[in-house]
Amino acid sequence: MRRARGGLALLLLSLLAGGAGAAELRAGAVLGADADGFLRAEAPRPFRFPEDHGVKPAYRTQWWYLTAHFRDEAGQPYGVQFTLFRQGLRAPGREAPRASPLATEALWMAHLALTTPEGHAAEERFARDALALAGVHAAPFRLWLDDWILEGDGSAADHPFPGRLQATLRAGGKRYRLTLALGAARGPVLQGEEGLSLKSRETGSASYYYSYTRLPATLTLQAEGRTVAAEGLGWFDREWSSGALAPDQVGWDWLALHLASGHDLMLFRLRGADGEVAGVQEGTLVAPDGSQRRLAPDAYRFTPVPGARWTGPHGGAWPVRWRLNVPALGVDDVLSAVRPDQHNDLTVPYWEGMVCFEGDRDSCGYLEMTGYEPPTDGARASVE
Amino acid sequence: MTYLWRARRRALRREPLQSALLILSLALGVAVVVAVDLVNAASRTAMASASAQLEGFSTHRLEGPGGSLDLATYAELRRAWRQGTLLASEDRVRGFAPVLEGRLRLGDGRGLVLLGIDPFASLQNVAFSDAGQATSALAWESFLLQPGAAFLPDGFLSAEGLALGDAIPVQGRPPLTVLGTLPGDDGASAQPLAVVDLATAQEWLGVTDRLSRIDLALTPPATQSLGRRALERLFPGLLLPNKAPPVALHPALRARYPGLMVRSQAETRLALGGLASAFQLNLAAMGLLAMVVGLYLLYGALTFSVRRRLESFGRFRALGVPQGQLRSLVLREALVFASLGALLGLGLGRVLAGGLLGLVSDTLAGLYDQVAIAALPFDPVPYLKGLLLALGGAFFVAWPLAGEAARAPLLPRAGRPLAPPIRLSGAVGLGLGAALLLSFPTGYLGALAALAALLLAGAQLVAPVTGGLLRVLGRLAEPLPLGLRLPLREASRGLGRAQLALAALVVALATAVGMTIMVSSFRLTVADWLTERLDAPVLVRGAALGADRPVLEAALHAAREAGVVSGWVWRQGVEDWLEPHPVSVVLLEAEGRPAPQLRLSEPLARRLARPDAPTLSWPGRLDGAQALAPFYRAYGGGRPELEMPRALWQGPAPEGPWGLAIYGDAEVLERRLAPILPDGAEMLAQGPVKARALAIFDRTFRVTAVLQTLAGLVAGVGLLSAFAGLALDRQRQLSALRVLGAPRRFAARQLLLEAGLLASLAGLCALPLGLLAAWVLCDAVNLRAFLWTLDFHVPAGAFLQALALALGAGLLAALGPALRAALAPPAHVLEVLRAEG
Repeated sequence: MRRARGGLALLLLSLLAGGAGAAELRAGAVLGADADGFLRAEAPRPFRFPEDHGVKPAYRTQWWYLTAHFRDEAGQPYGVQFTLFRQGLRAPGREAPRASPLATEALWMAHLALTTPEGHAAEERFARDALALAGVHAAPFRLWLDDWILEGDGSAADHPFPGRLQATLRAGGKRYRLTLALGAARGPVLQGEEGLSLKSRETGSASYYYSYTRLPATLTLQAEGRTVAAEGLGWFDREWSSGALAPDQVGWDWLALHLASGHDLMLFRLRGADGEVAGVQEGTLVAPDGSQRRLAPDAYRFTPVPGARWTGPHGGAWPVRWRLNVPALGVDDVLSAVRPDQHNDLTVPYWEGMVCFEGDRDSCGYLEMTGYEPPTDGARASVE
Repeated sequence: MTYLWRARRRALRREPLQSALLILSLALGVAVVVAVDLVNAASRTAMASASAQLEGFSTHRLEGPGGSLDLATYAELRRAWRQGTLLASEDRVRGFAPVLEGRLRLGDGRGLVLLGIDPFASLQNVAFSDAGQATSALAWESFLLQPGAAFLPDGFLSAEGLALGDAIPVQGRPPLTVLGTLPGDDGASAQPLAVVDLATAQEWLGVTDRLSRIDLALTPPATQSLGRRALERLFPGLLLPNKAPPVALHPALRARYPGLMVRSQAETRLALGGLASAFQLNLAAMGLLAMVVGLYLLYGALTFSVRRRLESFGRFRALGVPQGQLRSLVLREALVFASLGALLGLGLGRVLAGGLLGLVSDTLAGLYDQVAIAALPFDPVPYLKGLLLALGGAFFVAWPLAGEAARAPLLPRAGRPLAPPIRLSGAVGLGLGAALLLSFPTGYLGALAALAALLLAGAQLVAPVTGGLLRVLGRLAEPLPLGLRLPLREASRGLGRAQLALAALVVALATAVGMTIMVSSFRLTVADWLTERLDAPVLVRGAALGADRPVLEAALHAAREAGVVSGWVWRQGVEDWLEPHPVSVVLLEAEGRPAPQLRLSEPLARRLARPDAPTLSWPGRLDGAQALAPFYRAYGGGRPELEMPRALWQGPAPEGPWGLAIYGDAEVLERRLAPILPDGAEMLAQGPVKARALAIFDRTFRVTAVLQTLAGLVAGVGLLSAFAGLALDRQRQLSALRVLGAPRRFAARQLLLEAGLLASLAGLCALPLGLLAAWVLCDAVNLRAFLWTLDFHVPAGAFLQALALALGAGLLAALGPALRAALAPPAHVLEVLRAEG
């Protein structure tokens, strides 16, 4: 199984991450781009809801991304990440008719990760695009892979929320049943330039990207006969693209932060092999009244604290403390991981977990990092 | 110490033939053990790799009624798996892989196994590779997107001269395209394997609405105790495959999908491997037997050699040689013999294994299409085991003798027997042990142990029984002339020297008799069973037969009116559970034939521990308690079976393969029915089916016969050595008779008569012992291992053969010494007399 899986990892890597080497799940990318007939995200477009919540088969890669952080009554931190990826294998209209209902033109992959005071667990699932094993309905909003289901309650016609995530996570011999009740949303917030989020200046690769940045959330977690309830905030991203990373980009750091002041902050930067920003960095600030503005690169500083690294299972050194300085908000604090080991050791390994300010533990969010560990075998092969 | 060795070397040089034969017999014993282990291990590997190719890492399989699953059920089961509600027990499923398996025909008519998998959920042990590289992402993409894209075994591709991207013609379908290679197949498999995406498999097999099964990987994997693993490694073939405890589906799923069931892959293998297990068990037992015979001979030879030298050991002690040195001398001597024998045996074993491989491979190929053993894999364990058995065994048998040498009396005592004392208590103890093992439920291993104990007990009794017989004969022969009386007397005296060799011969012959009776009983029983099962002259089978039943039925009725057909029986197999056992139910409907009855197969009746129960209650399948007819024999192995009239079946609509047995004129029937048979249905004449089944059976046991002969050969060589020794002992006496005027022929005749007499008596002893062994093999080993009984059938030939073998071995062994005695020139005769003083 490992070897077959290795091949699969290779497939996913090359499909999801292009030739850049490490795990680039979020930035999306491709082999050979549009020669295959997929559309590219090249210019801002008008967004239409609820349609845009649904599948965009004309684009190669897309994902729906929910992160949420919580505290229980005792103030202990909990975090949940749920992501559904869809990877088109062939552009619509190019497929030959097939007799088998199992024939597939796309792959689905979902990740579910849970952080508790006791540890971090992650599970990964795959499905072919057949027999409705996985899918997304725009309205009423429903997104699923097997029994992992995120669905709206139907009260907001154009938006996924209020809604609910129900899922069972199996990891380390344990089974966790979790339910997230997600309240009415702020947004959607169009990221980048009116929703067009540039990923590489050189290749012009970009994605369409919008977010629901502040979802009141309640977690009910059942495991081994124990039930835990916790309150917190969620963040939902929706993004689609057919573009590729530039060859000099090895990974990225992405942050979604809920400030106690009511501001929401999204930052990402794509990194080169030297660890510095390679081409693109982007920031969006959403005020408590819902108004948003793009942050110029000089409007903030977001840098790893030297020496504060966690060594991953594959040898990478992950920066788990970051200094964030946003003068306009009067913010200058260190964000640190509630646990250093929030590493998703899946087919494509990456770090994604709950972070809070050391000086203000009511300001928390989710940090995602990729490309800090040596490439896996699959990735190496894909570079060759 | 050197003087001790020098003395020993002198003694050995006096009897070079003895030493050589002893080493040879030990070597043969080791060789048989090593060869059997090598071949068993190779066939295990071949069978495991054949099933591993199809099973991958899965431990269980989930199958619908009739061995298939529709897609909606698959989707629902998949959700249940995700929620942890697939199984009744705790959540153990760590892998869930849909599979569609079927067969295609290549352009040239050869079969091809098509295995459709989902690469995202595969439990297959397929390391896809692409021209030696890891498979590229593009290849994976093509695997999913390109209809007909297939991965095939490297060996098959190179044997066929195919490269990546080439098309493989398939009968009745578009060609497959070689997308990549599968390792691990040398192209020797009877049917190559093509791994394709599920969608391709559905399209190429023409079943777009279903899957064959879902392979499951359950944790923890079938746990095997350390002891069992070690035993498996040391005695491949001795242990039957583990029966995994049954795994039940979640009650909600069972209620919703009756007929859906989880079976362990081991059980599936067991279903396939009933005969193969019996066969390997046989081989393993024969190998051990040969080794025991070899060690027995070593014991005999050492005993003799130590006892002969007790006087000189005493002398050495008187000269001040410490006891430890004498003890060590004997032990080292035994170990030197054993080492030489073992080393020779290891080489011989490798050669022998090469010879046996073809026979075993044929057998397996007859039993299973998929399995072929290409070559002996290198495996050091059988060699190490052979070496350790020889050295350990030698040490074990030499230890008490070494003690005896060390305690040799300083002054020679007259009348010390040369032979080991016969311990009747040992024989009685062994016999009692065997009886206990057979009286209590000790499993088939207990029965095998009992068999060994009985054989050893018998061996202990050979000398006293032969001695007694010789005394009786001696008394009867008193009025006869000296020429006839002398051999009787001398045979009694020679018994001491030859008794262990004779005992070994008896064990080998008794085993041969036992095995012959068992195999012959088995064959007769299977032939009877086949005759009963295949009593109709024409058999039709095929999954789609049920759908075309009205058409066939109409044709049959017409044929009956025309007087061509007297009756027919419809059979449909349904896989089900009769708690707690998975069972195959055969639903029967007869027309113009005796009405079918509800009855259990013997293995099922025994498994339910109710061979004589008058009724059967089966909620959900039978209406209340139904009368049971006596059980019927079944030798297919695997999932136990029961038969019932279709009208009794209360369960869900049965789905499963159909069969039709037609009674009437075979030739006319074939002409009439062939045109209206549905696609995929096969019409078989009874004769060839039966002949093929028996041919497979015979081939299965041919290797056994070869090994039996080898074990006999070990004993024969032992006998050769014993009689050569006997002749040596008699040299002086025979020389004296020559000098006194006896003709040349006299000495030769004396030796031949003595040997023939002793060997024939041993042959006689082997008969009852062989009968006893056959009884244990038939009634205990087979019953316990496979839950089936065999009709006891004693072919008279078995006894005659054993007697002839014994006599032949004895005469052959004595021929050399007899010729030497006859041809010895008078000068040599005088020389002997002078030397012996």
